[in-house]
Amino acid sequence: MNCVFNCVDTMDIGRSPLTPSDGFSRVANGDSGTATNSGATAPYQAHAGAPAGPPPSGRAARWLGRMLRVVDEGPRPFYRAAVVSLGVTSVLAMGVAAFIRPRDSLPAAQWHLITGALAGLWLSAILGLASLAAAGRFRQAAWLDRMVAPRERAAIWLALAAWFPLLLVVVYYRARATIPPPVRYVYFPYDDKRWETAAYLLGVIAPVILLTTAARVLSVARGMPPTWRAWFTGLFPR
Amino acid sequence: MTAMKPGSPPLADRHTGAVSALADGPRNGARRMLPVAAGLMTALGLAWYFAGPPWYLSKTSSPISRQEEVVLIGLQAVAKGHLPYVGVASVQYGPGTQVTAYWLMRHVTSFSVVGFREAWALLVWAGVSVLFVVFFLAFGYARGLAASVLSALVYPALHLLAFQPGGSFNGYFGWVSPLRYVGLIALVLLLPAAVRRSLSWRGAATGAAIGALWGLTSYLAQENLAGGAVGALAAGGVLLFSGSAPWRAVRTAFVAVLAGFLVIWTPILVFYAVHGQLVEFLRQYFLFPQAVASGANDTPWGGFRHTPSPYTHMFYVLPFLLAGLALLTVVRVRPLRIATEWSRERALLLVTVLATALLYEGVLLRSDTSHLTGTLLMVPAMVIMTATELPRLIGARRRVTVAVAGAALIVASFTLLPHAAFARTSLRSWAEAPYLDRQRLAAAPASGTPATLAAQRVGAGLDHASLCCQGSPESMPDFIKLMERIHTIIGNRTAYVANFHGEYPGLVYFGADLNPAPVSSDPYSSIETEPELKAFLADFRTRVLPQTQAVLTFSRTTPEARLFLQRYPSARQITLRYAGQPYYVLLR
Repeated sequence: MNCVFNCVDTMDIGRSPLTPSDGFSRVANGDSGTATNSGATAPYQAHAGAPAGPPPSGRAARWLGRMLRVVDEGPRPFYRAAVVSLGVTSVLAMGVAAFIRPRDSLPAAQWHLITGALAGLWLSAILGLASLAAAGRFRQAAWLDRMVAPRERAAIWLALAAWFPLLLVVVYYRARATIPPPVRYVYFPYDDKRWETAAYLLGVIAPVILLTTAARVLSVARGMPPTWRAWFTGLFPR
Repeated sequence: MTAMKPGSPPLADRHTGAVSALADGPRNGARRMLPVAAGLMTALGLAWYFAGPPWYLSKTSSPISRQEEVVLIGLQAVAKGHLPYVGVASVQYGPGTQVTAYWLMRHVTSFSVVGFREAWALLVWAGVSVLFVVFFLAFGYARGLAASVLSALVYPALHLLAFQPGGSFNGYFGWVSPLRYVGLIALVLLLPAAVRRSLSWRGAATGAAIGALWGLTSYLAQENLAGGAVGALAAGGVLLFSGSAPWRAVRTAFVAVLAGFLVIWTPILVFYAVHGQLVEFLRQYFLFPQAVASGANDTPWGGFRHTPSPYTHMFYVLPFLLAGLALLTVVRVRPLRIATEWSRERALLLVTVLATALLYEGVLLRSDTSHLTGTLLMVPAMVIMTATELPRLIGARRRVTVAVAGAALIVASFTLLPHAAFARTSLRSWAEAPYLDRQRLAAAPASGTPATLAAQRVGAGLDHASLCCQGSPESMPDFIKLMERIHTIIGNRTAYVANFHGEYPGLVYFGADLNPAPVSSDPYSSIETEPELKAFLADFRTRVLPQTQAVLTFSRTTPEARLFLQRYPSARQITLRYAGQPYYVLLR
């Protein structure tokens, strides 16, 4: 096919050096310096004219190295981050629903929010425990790698980890909607639908932004940026 | 795989949209100018056929609608020397729409209800023209044509004010206008092209032109401002993080767009600042968008009365389709990958989905068929883009597969519509209506020039209508008689119309050519809450009342009437009658 559509439309990851399974097997590769970058992601090269910045020292360097190793571990840490994010979001959602309510009553909406948050917490606990229990016992699932490459899964989990806490905005507005407005509206009834628009935007637009951003963040990280600043500036291709 | 040249973003690989030609260098541009010119001519031709003149509005007799009445007070206030858009001239809609309508009524049409309708028809025509031009520029000739024809014939957004089958050019004058949304649509759809070429001066000029259009339409209607800003940021962010456009290109395009935007807005803001009304202007501009976003005027689908709608299915299904489509746009299947370094087509599909999604957000607040208008302006384009691009983007390679999948997607999209919308008879009647209506109306006898001032305010042709107004059973001649009487009684006095039987006060101000009292805002247009109403009345009592020489009301117990009678106990009270009920004129 001639190169008209999507000539370079996807990351060509080639042979991934990463562990294929999400949280169900251990990664042997802890040496970020030896990671192979066989696809579009090349080892970090400072942009022409871009200030490379002084190499980080001390704590910053240790944290950067740790983060880059995490990225190099594949989807497992991000899967766990998403599970933790879901759990924390669920706990916070219960708190928000319990505290933001009309005085002396707990409306049905709050009950629904708490029930949903409990379900989320239960799910995160199950997934987290399963991940810990299964660590190192399963071989890599090749079929999963064929379907969704480890790098894509890492990006998806990272995007989800960032997405779950945003749901607190919906929870907050849903809870707020049960509190009568402080003023009386003259011509029209008041119907607080901010939770609907928040849920809608989080459901339709946010995933696209988070997914592409997560993929970019990880892609730059795989290039082993020497500094935090280089990692950040690498997000903005020149 | 194409080797990427450094600094050559993937979006620059190929450009089929006509806007590319406008932004290209002279040689490339000249080669592509022919299809661009053909696209522009077709877009403008279609817009003229479906929404352009002659409308023969002086040969129609639709009652004056409440949406028109809300707008008339501002126009009358401006005519009497008040600053547009603030104080008594305040309206909840965009400032530019008021100013443009006023200017058109003064210089192009006539200062009457019919003249207002003609001015509004001109705005609608302009909106449809911009919409179709954007479709052709963004999507290319064939897809632009398909999206425009679908918009005009199948989807109802443009039917809300159009040549009606077997009728005339009619609909929601004073409310429905594609200009309320085309700024957002133009900015989001054309942004990838602006980004792609932003590093050349022509590209920067294209960005500035898009920004100027966005600025102008934001001045005309607030919907364009917030939606356009969010859409541009989201589109720019996604293009950037997907590695589809370099940071410099995105930044330059944004700067160009912002520059164009400021070219429009700077004089407006300076004008109000010079008059000491900048804060009031901005307060009025953001008043309704903020209030509606936080719950004022919001309704469940179909309103609080749950009026049935043939578009209920569309309302409930569309957000899920948009979510799915948005995700499908950023991935590639077999194997599943997050797409990076997007092709132009992928970027175009994403911004199409993004624009539709942002327009849909509005209908989540005030949820009814009318407010679905903005979304439905974009849905036809989304259907066409999805059908022509999605199959390929998610992995279909064979032409037959792509064609079959595209056709299936178009057919599937019709399931969101009521059957009548795409029935053959319906398509034919909407296609023929502009021609047949014009033919029929052209043959109808022209009406003479109205004799009295009030009749002139209503306008030639409409002054003999059997029904005056949307909320009143009276005939137009009876209404005109009352307005003439009121004008004779009040003359040039500064007057405050507290209310009118079944209608908004704007109708009386305009119909009787009154000099409106300098109230802080139009209470029916700019006041939402009880505290705001109390503040309005307090201001009315202390500041406005000393300047007010007449109050008109159907009840002397109205707060403003009571305040007037308290302050001026010896005020003359003249009782007129309308619709079998008293209507009082209180004079100092």
